[in-house]
Amino acid sequence: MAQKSFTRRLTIYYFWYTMLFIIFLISLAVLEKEGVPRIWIGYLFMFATIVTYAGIGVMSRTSDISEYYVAGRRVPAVFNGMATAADWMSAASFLSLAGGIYLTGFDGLAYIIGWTGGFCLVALLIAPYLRKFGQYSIPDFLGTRYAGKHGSNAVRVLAVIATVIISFTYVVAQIYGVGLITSRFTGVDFSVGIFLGLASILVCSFLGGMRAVTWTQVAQYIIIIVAYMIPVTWLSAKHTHLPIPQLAYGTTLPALNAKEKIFANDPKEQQVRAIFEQRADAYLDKIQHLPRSWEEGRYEAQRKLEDLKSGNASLIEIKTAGRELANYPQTPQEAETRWNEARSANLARAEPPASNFLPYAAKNKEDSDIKRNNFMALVFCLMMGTAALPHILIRYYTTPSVRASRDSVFWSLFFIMLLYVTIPALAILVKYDIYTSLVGTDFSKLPSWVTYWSSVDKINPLVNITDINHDGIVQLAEIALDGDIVVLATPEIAGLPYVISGLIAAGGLAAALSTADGLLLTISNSLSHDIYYKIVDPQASTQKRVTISKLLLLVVALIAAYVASLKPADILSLVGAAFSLAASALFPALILGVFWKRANQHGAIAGIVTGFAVCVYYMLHTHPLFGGNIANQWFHIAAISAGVFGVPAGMLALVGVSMLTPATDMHTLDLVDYIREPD
Amino acid sequence: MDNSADREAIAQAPARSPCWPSTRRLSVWLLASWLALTFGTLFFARELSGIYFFGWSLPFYMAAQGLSLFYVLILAVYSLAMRRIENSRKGKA
Repeated sequence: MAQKSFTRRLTIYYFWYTMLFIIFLISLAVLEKEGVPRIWIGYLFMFATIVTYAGIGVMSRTSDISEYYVAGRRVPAVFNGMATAADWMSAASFLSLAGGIYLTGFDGLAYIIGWTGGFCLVALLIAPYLRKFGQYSIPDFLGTRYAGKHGSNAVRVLAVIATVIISFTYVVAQIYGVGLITSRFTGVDFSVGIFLGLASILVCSFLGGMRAVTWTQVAQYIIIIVAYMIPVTWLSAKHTHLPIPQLAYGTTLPALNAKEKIFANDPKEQQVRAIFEQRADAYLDKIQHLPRSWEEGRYEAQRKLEDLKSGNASLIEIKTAGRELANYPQTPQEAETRWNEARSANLARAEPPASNFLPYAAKNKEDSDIKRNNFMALVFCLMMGTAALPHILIRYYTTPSVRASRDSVFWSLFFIMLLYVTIPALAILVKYDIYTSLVGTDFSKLPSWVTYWSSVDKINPLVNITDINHDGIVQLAEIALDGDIVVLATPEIAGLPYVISGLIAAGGLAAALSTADGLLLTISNSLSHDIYYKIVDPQASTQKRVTISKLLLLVVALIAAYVASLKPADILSLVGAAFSLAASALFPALILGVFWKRANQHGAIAGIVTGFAVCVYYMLHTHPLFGGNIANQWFHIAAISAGVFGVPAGMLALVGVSMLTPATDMHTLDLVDYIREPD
Repeated sequence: MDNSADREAIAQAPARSPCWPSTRRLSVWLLASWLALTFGTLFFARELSGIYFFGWSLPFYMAAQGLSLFYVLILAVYSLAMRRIENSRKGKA
C-alpha cells in the first residue's frame, strides 16, 4: 500500500512539474513577443533546464547504498518505463535519426525497428530474471551465475571490461552531443558547453546516484516528448489538415513520389546535376594526372595569393586565398584521398532523386540483395545490442518486484515507441515542406532559417544552398543538408516562434544528458561494486563503497569530457559499433545463463572472449578508419554489423566449451531455478 | 542487502520451479512471432512493396510504425499472460 501512495505522490509531482514547464514555455513565448533577443531565449532554456535537473539531484541526494545503486528498488513500473525511455533515447535518436530517414529513406528505418524490437528480447529473456536475482550490476549477475571452483571473479572481471568499453564509447558521444547542442544554440564555445553539461550531470548523479538519475530521467523524458511533438504536430496540421502526424503523414507520400518524378526530368534540375557531373570528372582528371596535377594546383594557389596581394584585392579575398592555400593537400597521397572523396560527393549530387520509400533500391538485383542483407544484419545487431547494453539492463533492478519489472519493460517500450513512430513522420513532413516550399524559391527570398543555420558551423555547414546554375531559383539538386538540420530547423520550417527552437535544443540536451547520466553511473558502479568491493576490499563498509563510487564517477566523467573535447571522429563513429560489441560480448552469456543450466564458467569465459574478439577483428579488418579494407568483408556485411558474426561465434564457443568441461555445481543450479521462478 | 544473506536466500529457494515450463512455452511462442514478423517483413519487403494503403506502401509502414506497435503488443501479452501463470501457481499452492 505504501507503494501505491508513493506512486500517487509521484504522479502529482510530475503533473505539477509538467504544468510548470508549460507555463515556463508560455512566458518565454510572451517574452519573445516583447522583443527579447533569441540568444537570451536560448540561454534561459539552457539555464532553466540544467538548474531543474541539478535541483532534482539535490533533492534526491543520498548515501544509502541501496538508494545509491538501485534507487531503493521502489520505482513504480510506469515511472521506471519513462526513466528507461529517457536513458535509452540518446542525442542521436533525438537529433540524427529523422535526418537519417530524410537522407536515406527506407534504409534509415533499420534503427527504428532495431531500437524498439530489442526490448522484446529484454522483456522475454533478461529483465525479469535480473530483477529476481536482485543485486546491483550486470557483471555481478554474470559473475555469480558463472561462479567456478575458484570463485566468481574471472567472468566478473571480463564483464566489467566489456561494460566499461561499451559504455565509455557511448558516453563520449553523448557528452560530445551536449557540447554541440549548447554551442549551436547559445554560441558559447564547444568545450565550455561540454563542461556546463557536465556540471549538471555531476550534481545529479554524484549526489544521488541511481535515485537522483531516475527522477531526473523522468523529468527529462517529459521535456523530450513535448519538444518533439509540438513542431511535428504543427507541421502536420499545416500540410495535411490533421494534427496527428503519426496518422496523417501517409497522405503526403504519393505527393512526394510525384514530385520526385518531376524533379528527375526537370531540365533545370538536370542542368544542375550535369554541372556536378562535370566537377566530378574534373576531379577524376586531376587524380589521373597525379602527382603533376598536385604540384600545378599548389603553384596555382600560391600564384593566386601573390597576385591578389600585389594587386588591389580586398582583405577578404586575400584571406580566402590564403585559407585555400593552407588547406591545400600536403602530399600527393593526401590529394588522392581528398580528391576521391570530393569526386564521390559530387557524383552523389549528380544522381537524380531516388524514391526513398522503396526498400533496398539499387541498380541491379545483386546490389539490392546486398542492401537487404545489410539492413537485416543491422536490425539484428541493434536488437541484440539493446538487450545487452548494461545501462539499460540495470534499470530493471530498480523496480519493486519481478512483475513490476515485466510491466516496466512494456512501459519503456511504450514510451520509446511514442517518439519512434513520430520520427519518420517528422522526416517525411519536412521533406514535403522542402519539396513544396523551398524548391522553386527565388534566391533573394530564402527563408531565414536557411541563412541562420548555414552560418552556425562554418567548417561543416548544416545547410548549403548555392545557385549552381546561376538562374536565381532554388533547385532541389542545389540543396545540401546535414541530417541534424531536419530536427533543429523544424520549428522554423513550420513557422513557429523561436521559443520552440529553444525547446528543441532543451529536448536534445535532455536526451543527451539523460543517457550520459545512466552511462556514467553504470561505469562507476560496476567499477566500485564489482572491482573494488567484490575483489579488492570485500570488508569495505557501505559508506566507503558509496564514497568510492562517487569518486570514480567524478574521474570517469572528467576523462569522458576530456576525450569528447578532443572531438575524436573515430570514437564518434564507434557508437554504432557499441551495439555490435555489446551483443557479441554479453548477449550469449546473459541469455544462456538463464535458459541453459549446462552453461558453466569455462563456457562463459570462452563465449565472452570469442564474441568480443570476432567482433573487434571484423571491425578492424573491414573499416577503413582502423586501417581495414572494405574488400575484406564477409558476405558484403558492413563493419557496423559485426555482431552478426560475433553473436553466433560467442554462442558456439559458450556451448562448445561448456560441453567439454565439467557440469555446473549444485549451488549454481539452485540459483538458476531461483531466478526462473517469479516471486 | 548483504552478500551472505543473499546466498542464504538462494539456498532456501525451492529447487523446482513450477512456473518455468509455462513461462518457457510462452516466451518461445512470443519470440517466434517476433522473429517471423520482423525478418519475414524485411526479407520480403521488395515483394510486398506493391501493396498500398492510405499512402503508405506496406513495408515502409511496417518498418516505420507497424513493427514497433507489434512489439508493444507482444510485451502487453507477455505481461498479462505471466500474471495469469503466476496466479494459477498461487491457486495450486
